[in-house]
Amino acid sequence: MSADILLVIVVVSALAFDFTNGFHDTANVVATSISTRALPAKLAILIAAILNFVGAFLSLEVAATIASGIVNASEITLQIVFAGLVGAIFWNMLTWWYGLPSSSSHALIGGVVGAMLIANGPDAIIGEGLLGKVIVPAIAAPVLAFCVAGVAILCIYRIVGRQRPGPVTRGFRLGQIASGSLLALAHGTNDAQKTMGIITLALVAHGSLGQNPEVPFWVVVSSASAIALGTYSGGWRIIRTMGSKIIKMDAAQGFAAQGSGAAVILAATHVGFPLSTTHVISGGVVGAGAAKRLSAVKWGVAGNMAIAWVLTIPAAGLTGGIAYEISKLAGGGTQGPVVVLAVIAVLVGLFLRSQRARTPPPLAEGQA
Amino acid sequence: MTPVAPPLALSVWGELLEVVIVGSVAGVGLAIAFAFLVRGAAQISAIRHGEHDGPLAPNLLLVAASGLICVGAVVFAIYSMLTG
Repeated sequence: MSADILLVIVVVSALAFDFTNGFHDTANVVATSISTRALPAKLAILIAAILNFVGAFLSLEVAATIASGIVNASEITLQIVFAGLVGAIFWNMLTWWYGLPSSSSHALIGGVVGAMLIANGPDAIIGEGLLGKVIVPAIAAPVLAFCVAGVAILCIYRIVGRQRPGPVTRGFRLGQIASGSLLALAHGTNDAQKTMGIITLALVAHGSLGQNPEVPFWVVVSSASAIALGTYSGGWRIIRTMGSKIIKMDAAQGFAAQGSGAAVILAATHVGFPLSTTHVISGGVVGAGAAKRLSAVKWGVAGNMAIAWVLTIPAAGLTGGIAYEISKLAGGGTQGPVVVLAVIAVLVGLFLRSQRARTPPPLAEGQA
Repeated sequence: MTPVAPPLALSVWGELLEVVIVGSVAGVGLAIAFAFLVRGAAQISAIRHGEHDGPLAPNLLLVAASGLICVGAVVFAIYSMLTG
């Protein structure tokens, strides 16, 4: 009974993470379409939410790889999975607050690795898996997308450079609707699977599924719904950063960034390589801007993003480790995660109260 | 001494190389094809409005060919997702 309650807590936390993933990564899919006015904001977000939902059903290859090869699967417990999710959600919310697009998948991996490290020591971490499945793709993804988008926009300018700007802009705006839709589909295919992977991991740890299991259908449906709802909620802080703070884009640049991003993500999904969509799209946006003119890119904003990327795994890992330690001190089992949830509720309450205290009261009538 | 799982390391690099090649070819190829589609459509529009002299047929052919490539790329992408 106690283990069942714990499993429910973990599954709900995983779906909460999935929601923040959609909420946080909405910008990846819609920011370029909104900033070049290819689509009205609300319609862009609605289309992205629907296609994220559909995309989640298309492939299960990443779900199979995210759960294995990075940590020793036989030593994973539900407390570790829960602590890892706490670390990932914390980092997602912190970076969203500062409007920084960071990788939700790396936050998830960082959280689980941090909790595992505290629980079982360094031997439980598969260094080669961490290097091959996380660190190498993290470096390769933005560099590849940067280069592809850069070459793509140079080719585009060469081909349409002498045409009248009106029809060309309209054409690329239409292209953006198609490439943005493809990107949303690819995002759902890639990112919802990470939650499926973590819930499957929890079911294995609980004993409901054997080793090397298939992802149950209810896990696919609930993960798809959570990411779609998160996407529909939108994360405007990051949309502003991605859409206009890095570069001021034209429609052709938006198309180049989105098209390249979609191509790279789909190639990664096809191979079963867990690439971060955030890294890919951010790299594509910077590449499309830098190829036109290096000074067009606000490198300070790009630098802040890069710092957030480097900090993602250590920060989520540290939070995951702390959450695991609190859970262990509270007696582990089911009561440990419940105490962690109580601590989080108190911290969130204190934070909201401090924000309310900072907001000046509205001026009374006649004082204005 | 036993080497530390070299096949896994090789497979990671192999997968990465595949992502680099497929992603680059698809990303740049799609951009080029769509740019030709836009160029052809813009030329046809200019000819029809009398703003530009020139034959219509080559531009129609350009739009048809590049449009086919773009649609093919999207269909292939979705097929890859379905079979992935």
